[in-house]
Amino acid sequence: MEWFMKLKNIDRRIIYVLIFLGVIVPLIQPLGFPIIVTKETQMLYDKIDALDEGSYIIISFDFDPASSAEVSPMTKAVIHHCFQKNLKLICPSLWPQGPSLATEIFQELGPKYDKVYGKDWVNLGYLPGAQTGLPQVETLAASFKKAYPRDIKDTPLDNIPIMKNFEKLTDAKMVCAFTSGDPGLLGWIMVAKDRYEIPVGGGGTAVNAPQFYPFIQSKQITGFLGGLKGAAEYEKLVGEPDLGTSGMDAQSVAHLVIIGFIILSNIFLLLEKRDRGGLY
Amino acid sequence: MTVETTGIWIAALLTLFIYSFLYKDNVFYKLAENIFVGVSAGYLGARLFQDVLMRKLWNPLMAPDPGHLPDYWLIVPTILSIMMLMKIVPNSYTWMSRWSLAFVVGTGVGLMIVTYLVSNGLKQVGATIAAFNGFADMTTGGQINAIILAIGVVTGLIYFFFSMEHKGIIFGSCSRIGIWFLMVTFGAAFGYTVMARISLLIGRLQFLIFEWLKLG
Amino acid sequence: MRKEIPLIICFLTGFMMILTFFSGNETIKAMATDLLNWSMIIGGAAFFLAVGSLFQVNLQKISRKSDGWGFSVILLFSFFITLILGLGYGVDATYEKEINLSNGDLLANFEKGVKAYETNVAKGITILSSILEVSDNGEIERIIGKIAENGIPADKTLTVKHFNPFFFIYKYIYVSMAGTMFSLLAFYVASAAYRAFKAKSFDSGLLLCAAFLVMIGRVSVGEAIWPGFSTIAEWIMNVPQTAGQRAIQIGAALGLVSSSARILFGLEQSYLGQD
Repeated sequence: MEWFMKLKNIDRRIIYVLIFLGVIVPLIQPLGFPIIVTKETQMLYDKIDALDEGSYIIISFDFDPASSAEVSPMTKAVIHHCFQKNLKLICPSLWPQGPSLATEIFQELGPKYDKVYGKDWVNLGYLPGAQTGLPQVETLAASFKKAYPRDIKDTPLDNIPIMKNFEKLTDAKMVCAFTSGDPGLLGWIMVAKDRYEIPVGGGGTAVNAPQFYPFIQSKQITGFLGGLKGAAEYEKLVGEPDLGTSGMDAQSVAHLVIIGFIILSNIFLLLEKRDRGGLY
Repeated sequence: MTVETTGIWIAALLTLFIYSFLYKDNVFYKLAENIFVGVSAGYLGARLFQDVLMRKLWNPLMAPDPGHLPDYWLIVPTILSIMMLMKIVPNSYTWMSRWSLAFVVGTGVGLMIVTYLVSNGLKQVGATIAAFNGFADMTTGGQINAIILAIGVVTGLIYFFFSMEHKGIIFGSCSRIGIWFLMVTFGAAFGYTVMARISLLIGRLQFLIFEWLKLG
Repeated sequence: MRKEIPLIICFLTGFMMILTFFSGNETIKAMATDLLNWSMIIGGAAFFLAVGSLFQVNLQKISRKSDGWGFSVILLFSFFITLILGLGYGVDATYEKEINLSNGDLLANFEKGVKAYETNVAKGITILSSILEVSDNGEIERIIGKIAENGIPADKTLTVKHFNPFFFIYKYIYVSMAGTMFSLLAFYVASAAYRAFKAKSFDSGLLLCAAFLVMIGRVSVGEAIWPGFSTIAEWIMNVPQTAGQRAIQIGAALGLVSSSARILFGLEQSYLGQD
């Protein structure tokens, strides 16, 4: 059983190398596994697709750079869709890093669709407050101008064309919040949807995804993108394959590696039990 | 060398410094870690100064936009903010921070009481019951799912009721079933957590391969 | 009164918030909006407490020359550089600078540069980049496009956008390192999966089964191996997982409501700290 003990106590750095190879090889050499769109992603897509041209949609950037590998691709895919539909984007942020992440995305997508800042979208900046997000969203429900006297470029909201017909939360046809925790999507659901009946959708990291399934079942949320997979699915629907799509093969192989490790770990457990049982 | 190329090389080097920790703790990792902490605190400071202190406090109070009067009521949060900062000065003034804390906590709990009760309580219970709407017209699968959902919610809640011992045929069995549902919940959460962690690694390796090394 | 006044403040503000849910009175709603706005400002100012604490810890390390004090110097240096650049240049991606062309030969040279750009882009960029004090070719192209469309402004002043060094630090240092720090977790999860994720009982076996089915069903390879995996994963997420999550959320909501009520009525005072 020497081989068993050696394998069981293998240096952790070999495990690191295996997971590293499991991710990097499919990135360099894609395997072409198909991406199947789930019901939750389709719900969000259909909801945005049903909005009329020129409708106001709130896109809330409630995440930070640590989660941007998962959440930025899905946010980009949704903004692709919004620009394709010629919607008007109002972009607050409940996290301090959100406005800069928004700037990065719009720097790329704005020129691609010939969209003009101030006319087609506005980046309002960071709105500080409680961890729950409730005070922030409640203030936006009352008045955007009270919450945000100026935008990220220091322009008074009165002087921004897109804000001329937009005063408060209920002027929006939908809210899409992209979150890596609290404050975030939960706050928007509890206020925008449950109190003011504005449809809410969005996405978040895969860690947060399970907690939103009860809200999908109760129809408090219209669609949810979970993790990089959600991003890949939405990219497929809008026809803009990007980082989400390119990461899916690596995700698949890495999952198989982890599953393999779990199976091995349990085989060791069984062998240990047999060994203790004195059969060897 | 353009600004972008310089930036990519700096980002790549710092990324590799951090990954060197996987081999063992070393001076490069410590250097990157401390730069990261300093830069993130500096970013937050600059962002809060601009978005909170200047835009929400100073401008409306001292330099209002044309056509607007100064909002003198903002003197109240200004004083409360200064009182909040008394927490870091010697003991005799620390009590002042309690007023600000009480203000923030009060507004928070006032909102939470109603919203959490409605959104996370009543609406969730309502949705569990509403799953049985049109029960007779549902497919067999739909009917089974509605029943499993209701059993899972009820038994899960029974498990969390710690005022009574989880014994007996009804209470004990129900709490046991509740644990099974919770185990499935935690298992699913674990699966998604693995997915999330791998996605973060994919993100960084995409940067190293596509942007830095330009392979593919 | 050092504890009584804060408790009264907490009760009054909380009661005001609850009132807005049930009252249609516009004055009450306006007052509540103001209170919320103020709480957001105070919450933002509280960040400076964290900065104070960061300073305290690191300055202590430096003054005592404790182990690794050199890194504390680097930390504080990084903090100040980032903060100063952010305050100086602003936190947006670009900062703007006004260039007045009516000074001396500047206008004539600018027109020469624009004309040169039409026939020889490199020569045009060389002339214009020194006049506009910018090295970004994209920005020069943008300005030339604007001149072609609208001509030179009457006041001879051009607004030139410069890449913000603060945004450089944000994009290439902060974002990359934040992502990398958290991506280390993938390796630890792999190591834990190999060493610790063992089904030692029925309950843990159930947990691992659910995890296995969700992990394989939620990725493309699961669908490729057997389409049933994604159906099972979908069912697990929508039925038993939803049931368990819902039980947790209802329980947590009830707990939160009761502890909020205790705070509101002053029965819970731990948030005020010790005397």
